[in-house]
Amino acid sequence: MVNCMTNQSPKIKRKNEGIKGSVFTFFSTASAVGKTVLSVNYAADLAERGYKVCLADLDLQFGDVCNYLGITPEKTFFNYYDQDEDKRDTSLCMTETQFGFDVLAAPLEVDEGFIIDAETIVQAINQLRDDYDYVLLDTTTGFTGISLAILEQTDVLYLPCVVDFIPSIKDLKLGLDTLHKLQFDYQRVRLILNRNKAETQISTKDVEALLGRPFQYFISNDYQGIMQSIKDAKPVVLTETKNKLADEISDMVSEELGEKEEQSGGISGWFGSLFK
Amino acid sequence: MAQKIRVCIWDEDSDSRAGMLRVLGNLDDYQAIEYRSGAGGIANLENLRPQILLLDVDYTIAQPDKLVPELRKTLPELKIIAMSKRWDESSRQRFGDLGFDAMLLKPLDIESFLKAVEAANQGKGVKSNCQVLSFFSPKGKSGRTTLIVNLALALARVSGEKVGIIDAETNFADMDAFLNLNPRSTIVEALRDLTYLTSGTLEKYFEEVSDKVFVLCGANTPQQAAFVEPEGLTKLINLARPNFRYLLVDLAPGFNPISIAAAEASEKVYLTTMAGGTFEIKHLERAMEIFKSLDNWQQRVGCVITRMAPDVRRAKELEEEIGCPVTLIPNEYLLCSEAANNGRMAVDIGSGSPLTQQIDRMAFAIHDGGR
Repeated sequence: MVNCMTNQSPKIKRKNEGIKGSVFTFFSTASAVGKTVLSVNYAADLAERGYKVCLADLDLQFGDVCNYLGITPEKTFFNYYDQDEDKRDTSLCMTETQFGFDVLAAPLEVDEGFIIDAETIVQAINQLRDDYDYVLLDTTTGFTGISLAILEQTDVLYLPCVVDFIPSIKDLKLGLDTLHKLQFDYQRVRLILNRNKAETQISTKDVEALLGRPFQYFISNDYQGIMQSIKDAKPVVLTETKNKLADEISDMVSEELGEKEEQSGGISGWFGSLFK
Repeated sequence: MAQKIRVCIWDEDSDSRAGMLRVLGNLDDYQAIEYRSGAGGIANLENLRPQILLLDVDYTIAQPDKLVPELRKTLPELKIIAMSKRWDESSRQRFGDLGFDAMLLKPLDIESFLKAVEAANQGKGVKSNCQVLSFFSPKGKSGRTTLIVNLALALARVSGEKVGIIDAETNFADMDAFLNLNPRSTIVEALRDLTYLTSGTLEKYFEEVSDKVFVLCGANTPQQAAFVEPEGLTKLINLARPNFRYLLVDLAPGFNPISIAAAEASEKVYLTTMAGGTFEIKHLERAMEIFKSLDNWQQRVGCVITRMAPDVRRAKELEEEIGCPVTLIPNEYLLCSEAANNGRMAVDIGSGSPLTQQIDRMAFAIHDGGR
């Protein structure tokens, strides 16, 4: 494990100084669908493009961001929570990584994660938006008081899923219906089919028909590549020999930033969706 | 004419007392005797020479801690049935140690009441021997639901008795999909109706999976799950106890007030995870630290790791690492996913597969009083 520096003054300057950062949340209705892998790689890719990025691990009891990055944080979200409410300062609790982005780590102890409340999380997100161009949130599965508070702060919601068996698809449909009932704007939801073309007995078309909407992004099934990336504690988008999965994540980032369509003269992504 | 069996009812709640007197009064075999505080104390109770005593232990003046040992001396043949509005693990233990022959949860339903009186009369203890087994996982996709369904079927085979499942997963309850059920009611309705339910009437909220396995399905939507709260779940578990030999509770991942309440109400908690080659064991170890605060955690906590080939040496290593007994369940991905996809989890996973064989071993061990 690499011990990372904490409490450092920001080295990377914000691209959009003075404008509040965007909040991108990785959420799911089933576990083990790739939220952490996607959020870690998304953060690394954004940082590579020169943005000031932070990834907050809001899977507060069993978060894996630090595990995947091979870092041992000195300060975590619990240290933020543990300060007097009016003195809480996220910048004192960040862990700087060698990958160009900062991490607000999940607490080290399970009971520390248990007591953190939704109000504190909202307070932290608001501070992070002042300090970063992009605030990425890796969350736990399902709808809870905390996840509902996070959704309210979210600009773009990434909803990865794996088409492995019917109960998971039922839960995804239920999740989308719940978002609709919560009046979460569907234009801000990005449905991702992870482990695309993995061994499964369910057709993607059937799932799309059931959900009533297509997947926006397809991420390849590269189990070995991901396991190696976790073992090496290095995001796949930063590996020298780029692979298909890394390209797909980069393309996803480009599309969100409107870079892909800008090249061809169109407006797309989060910005473009405002004008649809 | 055969002599009637003398049943003494010591219950300070007049409605409850009147109900019991009415039920027993309609039966030829029993003579019901009312007893209340101020009726002359234990000496008078002894003079009544009851063969069965129904005692409301919530009524503290009765002082069951003193009363029961004294009655045992003077009326050694007396069968004593405790009645209480609250049963939890510690009170069950306490009243069992005191020598009560049976325990009934109030409000009483006629069926359970008569069953207890009849069993006491025949000299059979009707102490609820139900074992509640809760299944917790640090994160989802642990193979928990597959394990629970198959273990319930195995426990029913091994014990020959009824096994219940409560789907207390508060976000995305899947038991109905796994078993292709279209439940008439779910945990939400059961909790709503809790105040007037009895153990007998609660049975109707469970769906039949096989002749011995029954499931109380989880909330239909995440919004409905908001009705599931810890105190209600504890009451529900205790109310369901008399109906089953084993009661298996499926919990949402992570620690939350619901999973903590269920763990406290259970005889056994199984920490479940699926081997995925990353940080699953680390998470189990961290969760174990929390479970060590449970009373008798050494006897009450076990781990199940799914998708890992059974291997005695590896299991021993993991037991040392995690700090509790470990059961390994082999990978049968295609078999399980096909069964789940078709809602035939209880039908397709027949005997003979390595997964079923290992779950059968686990069921034998549980029924034998082992892990």
